[in-house]
Amino acid sequence: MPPQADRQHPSGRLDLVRSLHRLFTPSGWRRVAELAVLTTREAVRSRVLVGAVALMVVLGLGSLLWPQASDAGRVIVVQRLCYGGLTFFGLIVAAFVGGSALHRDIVTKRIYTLATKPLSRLEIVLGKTAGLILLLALFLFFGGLITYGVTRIAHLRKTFEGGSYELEVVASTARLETDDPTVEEERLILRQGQMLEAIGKTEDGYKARIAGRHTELAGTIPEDAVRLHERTLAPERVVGGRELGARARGQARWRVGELALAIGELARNETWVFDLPEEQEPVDEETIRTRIIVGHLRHEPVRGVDRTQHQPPRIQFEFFNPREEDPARASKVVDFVFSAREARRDPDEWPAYDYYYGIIALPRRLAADGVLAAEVTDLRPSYRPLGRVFVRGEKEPRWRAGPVRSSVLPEEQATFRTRFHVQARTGLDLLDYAAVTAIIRNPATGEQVERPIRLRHLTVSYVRFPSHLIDPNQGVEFVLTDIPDDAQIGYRADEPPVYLILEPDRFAATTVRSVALIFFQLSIFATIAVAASTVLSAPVAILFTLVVAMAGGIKDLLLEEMGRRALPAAATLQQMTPTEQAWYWIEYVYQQVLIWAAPGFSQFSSAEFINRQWTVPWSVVAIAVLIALGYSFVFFAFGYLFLSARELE
Amino acid sequence: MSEYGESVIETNQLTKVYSGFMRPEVLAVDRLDLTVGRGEVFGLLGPNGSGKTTTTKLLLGLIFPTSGSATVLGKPAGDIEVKNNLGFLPEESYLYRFLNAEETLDFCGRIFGIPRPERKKRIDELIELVGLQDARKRALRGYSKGMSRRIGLAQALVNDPELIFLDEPTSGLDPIGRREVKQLIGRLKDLGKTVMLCTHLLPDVQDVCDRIAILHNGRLVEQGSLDELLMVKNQTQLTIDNLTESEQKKLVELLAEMGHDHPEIVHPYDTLSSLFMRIIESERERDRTRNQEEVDAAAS
Repeated sequence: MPPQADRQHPSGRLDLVRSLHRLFTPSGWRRVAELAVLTTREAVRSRVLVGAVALMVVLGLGSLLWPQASDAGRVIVVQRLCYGGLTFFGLIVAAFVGGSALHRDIVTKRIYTLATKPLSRLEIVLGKTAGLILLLALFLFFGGLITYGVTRIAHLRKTFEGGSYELEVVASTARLETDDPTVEEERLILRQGQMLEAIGKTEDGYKARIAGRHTELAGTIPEDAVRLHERTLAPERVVGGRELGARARGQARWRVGELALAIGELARNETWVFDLPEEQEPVDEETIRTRIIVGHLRHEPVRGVDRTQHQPPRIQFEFFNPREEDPARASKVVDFVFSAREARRDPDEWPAYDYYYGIIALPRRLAADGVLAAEVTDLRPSYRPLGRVFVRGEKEPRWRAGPVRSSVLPEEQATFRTRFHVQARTGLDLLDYAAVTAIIRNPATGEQVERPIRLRHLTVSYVRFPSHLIDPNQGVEFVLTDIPDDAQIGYRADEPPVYLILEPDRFAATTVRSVALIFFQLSIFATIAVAASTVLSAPVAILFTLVVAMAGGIKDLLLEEMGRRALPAAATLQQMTPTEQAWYWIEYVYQQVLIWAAPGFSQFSSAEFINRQWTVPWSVVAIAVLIALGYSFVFFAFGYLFLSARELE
Repeated sequence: MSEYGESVIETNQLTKVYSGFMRPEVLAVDRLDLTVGRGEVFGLLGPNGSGKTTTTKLLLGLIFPTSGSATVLGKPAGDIEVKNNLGFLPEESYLYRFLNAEETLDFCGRIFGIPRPERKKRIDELIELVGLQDARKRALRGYSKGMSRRIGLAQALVNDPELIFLDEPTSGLDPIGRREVKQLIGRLKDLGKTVMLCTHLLPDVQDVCDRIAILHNGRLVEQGSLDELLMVKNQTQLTIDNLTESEQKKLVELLAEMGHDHPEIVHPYDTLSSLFMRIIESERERDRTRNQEEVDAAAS
């Protein structure tokens, strides 16, 4: 029998204390830095960096060619594509370079060059990881510059194109307006729900004005695009009737002999347009049984109101056929109370509902032309709001944005929009709004304009004003006045109350912060890949990294899907059959693994901010840093343990 | 301290068994007791698979012993601090092939924390020492096997180590390179360094080693100084320049009178290596002279 190993022998397996002691010295960090630079240099010389950046150039330029209906939309698409590309290419770089980092060194025995030098295994794993992160930082630096450049080009593109703007539109319906006899104006409702106003018909097509969220452009709709829906555009079919407010499109489908109409957010004075599908099931010749479904309607608690008195809102709808000439036959007013489904009846909470529904009978004729419209004409909240105003403790809040650094300021005619991000509590806050007046004033000259705005709870309201009201040094001053007594208005502390949509520096800030989010997300992938490469072969480590990335990305989706599964009828676990119990536990374990193991990468996406043209707040970046540090530490610890225990044969 | 002076390597019943999932157990090193003294050139000999490289890896801490223990420079094998004073040339030069010779040595020097001026001087010295002046800026991926061995040797010496492990240092080298490596080992010995040489090329060992150990199937079968092990104690060799035939006859008669019958008198053979070196050196000298003549002719 050979003698037992000497206990004093370090065996190299786990010498954490000494390794940490060595690491936290200037020479320790220097060694890690040297190894990091070596790792980065290898990837750079293998043309990994050049390849990834070249792909970003192709993607950036390609995104400029993406067809868009508006300037704002184009910038958003360019940003989304570029940030998506940075994340995707960065993930590929992290998985492939990181997944082979240590395994390749071990297989080719290059690790001997490192392990026989005064480098602890802790320093080796840390150096390799830091090198990969440095590589990703370089990639994101160049990729970020490309993204910024392409975004600016997309933003400035209308200048290059002058007043001409070609649009690819798919119009689903249209209505002639004849108020001004000199202009043949049409209002088109795009399939995507965007609104486009066509001003006059020319030889080339329809001269159009886009009312996007942030910009306005005049342009021409090609005749071809319009012809795609010639049936709905034909003037003889668009007669009489009434104007469509065209705020939203509803969804309509036939379901077990009834017509189900789904509406997103319920709001007063909004019109929903439903394209009716072809009837596939027999219905009453005179009436259609119709179910109206309103989603995401929640009642927030209102102070001072007895919650037991709560009732679902009573709502008056007017359904109408926009193409019916005879006003007497064109519409029907329906007044009813929604029923709630999936209500949570926790006595300590206010009722919250997934959605409301109501069933009515509509005259058949309203849907005869394949289009049905509906408008909320009356909303009667079932309780009174508690009226009190607070805006930073002032009755008439005022604030100043500035000084403003903006290259568009010299353009006297430029139009700015300012965003008011408001938490307004006015009773049934989703359904109501507070009409206030905004005074926008140049602090240097005293020049000012007044603009009416409507503030809704948890929504963004905009006010538009000319650029000469902004003083380059002192900025611009805002005052909110005429606030109703029964309204509560507050601002989110983490958002600047004033936001100059066209301020060019915003792109730099958006780029820097979005790229920072991507960087921290990729840092997690880098640590995962390097840790995996300490124990797995390169292909498996790469695959593992990609699977973790995907699982993290679709975690919410997977959990949501799981939540939709029908649960057994049994009230308790004990009442379940053994098979049901087994499935229950499998699902439970799967959920827990997903929740705890798969990183929540949704926090690293700036898509939501980009879509709304907001700048990513630093607070979001700070949270991303914390999450990245947490995950990276865990994976790094695994990597160190694996390599310490591994024999370098 | 041991009978060989201060020991820099000491193993005590060092044993290594390779095992693993779906892998048969292999006894690579079996209860090895080895001592290497300071300033020695120690040869670890044995046929392929005898455990030489495994022993080296155990001493360097690349793999872990199954049982037993080893100390290197007074510390347990694998100790990180000790690695500041170690140099290692593996059996093949496993280096970063995208780097050139200068960058490779610079990286190693930085890991050892050698200050920049000293590092630069050391790199120049080592590159000259291993004869890679013309290829110092070339990426290692373009190196021949011999050149790779040379840069491998240079990186093992970058920190001016006290103890140097050389695993097959002359493999892949031409005779000139082999002689240079052997000369280098001699120079290291003169500087008081300890060299542990793993090889199965016996002529190399005979030329440079002070002591050797022979391994077979992981076991130590012989250990001792080269003189002790190789000396034929019951024979004497006499080497004399230009002995004529008559003088040879007289010498035989004289030895017969002394009772030594049938002494063997032959012309000693040179080694092929020495012959090769002599020819190459004379050719080089001739080239140098011819070049000088051409230069002089061109100048006049």
